[in-house]
Amino acid sequence: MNARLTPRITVAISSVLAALTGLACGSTPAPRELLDARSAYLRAQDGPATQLKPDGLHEAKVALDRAEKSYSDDPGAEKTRDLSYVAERKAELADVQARDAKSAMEKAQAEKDLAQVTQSQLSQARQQLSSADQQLSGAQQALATEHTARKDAEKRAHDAMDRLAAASAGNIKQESRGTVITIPGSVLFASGKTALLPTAQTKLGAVADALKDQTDHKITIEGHTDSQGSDASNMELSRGRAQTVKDYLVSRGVPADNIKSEGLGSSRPVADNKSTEGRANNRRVEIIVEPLESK
Amino acid sequence: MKGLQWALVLGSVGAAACAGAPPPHEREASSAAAIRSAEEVGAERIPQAALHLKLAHEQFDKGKALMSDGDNSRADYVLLRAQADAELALAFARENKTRTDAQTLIERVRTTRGGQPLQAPTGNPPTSQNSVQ
Repeated sequence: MNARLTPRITVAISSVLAALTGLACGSTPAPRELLDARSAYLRAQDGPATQLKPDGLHEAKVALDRAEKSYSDDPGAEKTRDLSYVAERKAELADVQARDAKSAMEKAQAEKDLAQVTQSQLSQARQQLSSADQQLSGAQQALATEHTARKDAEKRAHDAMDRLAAASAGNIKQESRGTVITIPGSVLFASGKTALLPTAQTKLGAVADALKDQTDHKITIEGHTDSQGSDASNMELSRGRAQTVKDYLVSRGVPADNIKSEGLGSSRPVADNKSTEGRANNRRVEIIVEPLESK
Repeated sequence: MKGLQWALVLGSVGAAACAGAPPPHEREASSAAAIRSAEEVGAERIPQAALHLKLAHEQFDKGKALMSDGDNSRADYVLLRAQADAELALAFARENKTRTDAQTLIERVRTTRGGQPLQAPTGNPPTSQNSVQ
């Protein structure tokens, strides 16, 4: 506060002293223009001009000195008022030019800051773009891998179906529940037995080879009998035969988790049980390869 | 006779003094140039600059009138006043533009940074301390 008030106090004291001196000497007091010029110079000296516009401040001092000399030489001269007016403007000029220089420095700093911020944001955007590119590339690669895997699976399924068709000698058909391979009971088992005939192993072996690559498919083995005998014995016989076929397929490499067996007895005949041929057709094992579940 | 000689000498000295300064054409030209410069930077659109530009015009006209009346010595000082006001008007106009540019840039930096606080501008708007006659 003292530092800011000092010039004002100085000016006030100077003005009073000048007035008193004038009165004491009986001379003309300093004109208002000269008092204003002195104040303006002190204000400029107290502002940024000292640091940022010292040449302008010097010019203001020279102008003020000239006005002071004129007042000293001829206190009442019109010229003194003119020179004081000019000195006041020079002091203000130095102050305004110093403020201009200060604003110019702030402007330069802001330009520098803006360039840095812009550069920083540009780098960040580039980094994000690069990251997004990498993610896209990864996703495309994963998609391509999945596509290849699906193609391979489809090819394996196609090949397996071909092998199954060959192994089952034409007893294969497509139904809504999947691909159904029907093997006559007489080919696999002796009458009333659940143990496989030696010849059956060759036929089932070919089926097992075709199925063991079908890891994506669920497989169900169904045992069926004709209607002769009690339902309970037929159910037990069909269940035992289905289990035997399942065990054999598993022993030949078909994944156990994918395969199940069930006995249905005489409940689902495919032919008339009154004829010998019809009963032979009803005694069968069906291997159902279920379709792939849609993902 | 001797008194008459002294009277002639004093008369010629007085005449020389009255003939006085030549017309201040150089001052007139420099004042006019300063006024033009202030006008070119748009001083009339900035209140503080416009005030001093108006004073410059008035004093320039007054100076020319004094020259026409043959009061060249007084005209020189009045034209000097005009020049000082014109130079001040020019400085105000320039300072206003620089300060506005700086504030705009600082605001752009603040906006670009996403509202993060930036170093506040240290410049205060200038205030006119001059007395106007």
